[in-house]
Amino acid sequence: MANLELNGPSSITVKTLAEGGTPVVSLAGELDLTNIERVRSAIGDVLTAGTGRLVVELSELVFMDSSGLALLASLARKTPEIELRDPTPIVRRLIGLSGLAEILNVSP
Amino acid sequence: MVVTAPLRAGSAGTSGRVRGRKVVRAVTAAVVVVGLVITGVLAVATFRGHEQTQRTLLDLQTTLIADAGEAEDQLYVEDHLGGAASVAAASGGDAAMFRQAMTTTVGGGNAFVTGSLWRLSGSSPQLVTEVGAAPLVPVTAALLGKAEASRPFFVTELVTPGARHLAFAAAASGKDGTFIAYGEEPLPANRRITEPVGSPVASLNLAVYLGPKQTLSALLETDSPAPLPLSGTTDTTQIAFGSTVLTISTSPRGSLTGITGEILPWAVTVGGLLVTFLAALLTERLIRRREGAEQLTSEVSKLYMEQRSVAETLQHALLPQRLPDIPGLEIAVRYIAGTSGVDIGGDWYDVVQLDDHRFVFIVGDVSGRGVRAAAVMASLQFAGRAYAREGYSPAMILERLSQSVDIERDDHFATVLCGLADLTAHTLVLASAGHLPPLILGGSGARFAAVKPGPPVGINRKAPLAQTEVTIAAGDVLIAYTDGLVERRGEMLDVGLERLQTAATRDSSSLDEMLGGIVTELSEDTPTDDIALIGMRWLT
Repeated sequence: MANLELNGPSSITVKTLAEGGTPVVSLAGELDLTNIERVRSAIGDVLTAGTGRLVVELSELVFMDSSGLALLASLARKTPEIELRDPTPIVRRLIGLSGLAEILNVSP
Repeated sequence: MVVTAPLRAGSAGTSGRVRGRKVVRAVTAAVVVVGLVITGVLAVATFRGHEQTQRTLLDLQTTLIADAGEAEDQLYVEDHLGGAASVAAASGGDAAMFRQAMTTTVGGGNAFVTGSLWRLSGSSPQLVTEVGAAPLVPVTAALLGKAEASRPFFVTELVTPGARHLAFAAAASGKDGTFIAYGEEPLPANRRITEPVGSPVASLNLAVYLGPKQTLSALLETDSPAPLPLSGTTDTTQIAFGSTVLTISTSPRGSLTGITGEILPWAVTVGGLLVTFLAALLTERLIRRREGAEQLTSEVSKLYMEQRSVAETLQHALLPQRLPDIPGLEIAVRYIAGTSGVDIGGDWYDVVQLDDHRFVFIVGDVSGRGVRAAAVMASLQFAGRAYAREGYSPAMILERLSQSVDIERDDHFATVLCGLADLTAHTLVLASAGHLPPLILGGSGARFAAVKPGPPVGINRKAPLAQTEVTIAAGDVLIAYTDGLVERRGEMLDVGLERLQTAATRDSSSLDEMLGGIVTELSEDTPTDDIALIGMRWLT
């Protein structure tokens, strides 16, 4: 069935740890439509349990599609105190071109 | 307008199913044939093996009987009767010594019932003495005469209506002439003997004949319940017995190798048939199961193709079927559906003519995929067209579109590029809601329009959206596209943008051919994301 191309989910690792009371979610790998719901629910769990502050660490995220951007934008709307830490140049450029830099809190 | 989409077809032919049934029958038949052949060979081999063992054992036991049993008789007669004759010859026919010699031979539980000593002189033998009972029939001179020529002794059978005796005559010569010892041994009534249970002979049918022929009249004794002569697997051996031979014929009563040896061939046959049957059953079941799985896969594939086809049809239906024919402007478009599953994408393009020299174009991309994304796309497309007709500026159009989608409510946003062109003034006002910048091909080469992108549609913004005005000369081409055209995993977006820039500057005879070349050069073999592409050439 050569034309049956239901690809499996892309590879992503989601790690959660606390940094002086602020939860930090690290995303490593590729964030796209195939695994977006997993990441959305993982982050949702952290937010439900936490104080509303959140750091999303992106230093090992090598790809993100528009649904990933939408997730970050959605998080930024609902949780103003969200910080996107250390994105890779690819992701940083994507954020810049999509006009989201002005609403996302990217550091450094 | 040209809309390209990969054509796909899935078919699950019935010919495959018919062929499948034939395969099931052929393979099952092959298994049965192989099983039967193996069973047959094994059965024959074990039958032969059993028969061979049976024969070997029979030969062995018959030899044993001949050596140990019947040969004893020969020695007995030789020792006793021959011995007595020798004693008589040595003693010159001493009657007392003969009688003494015969005490362990005749009567009192000994084998012989009658004994007598004869002196051979002239033509008629003379009786010297006799012991035991009277002979069954009077001893004849002819019988005694044969003793001299028959060493070690002469033997014959005597029959009267009431009894049967074996008559023996052994001759011995001394200085006083030739003496003949005569004796008779009674034969069992009805010629039947019973071997004791546990005797090695008990497992055999045994028939002993006097002489070389196996006739009823020659039969001395038998323990066989079966009719004579013995049939089936038999073994016959002859041993010397005086002037003639004893013929010993045997056949097995049952299996000489025990119950296991007897049932083994049958067990092999039945077991083999059973295994063959089970193997055939299992083979057929396995093949049918695989066939079922293949059919299911084929059905799923077909359903998938159908669903995908529905999605593609819906997507194409949402895109404008006909773009306006604007004087002084050439338009070409491309739409390529991605292959990532059956989900419909959210890319679109649109051109709205305002009057004879002004038009608005919109290119957008809703994040994510699926029917929800397509619905957002449809509402944005219709709203955008309406706002454009109302005469709003590109920035205003994009800001108002945010009423149709909200990231917090829909989990979707849309990157949208909107341009308002004035063909007479040669101006183009651009606004971008997070969309990639359009490429402008002019006399000085290809450049990306310096549009400052604001946040995507669906995200409430803090500051008003920026607008950029560029000048477009006659002959210039503007290419707007969605990110599927330039985005690659693990690559900076700028690399993809440069690739587009290079591909767009290659020679082409028409705008449509230019877009075709760009798509061919930039799209992957199996693009996962959708690609929407619109090209516009200012003719004047």
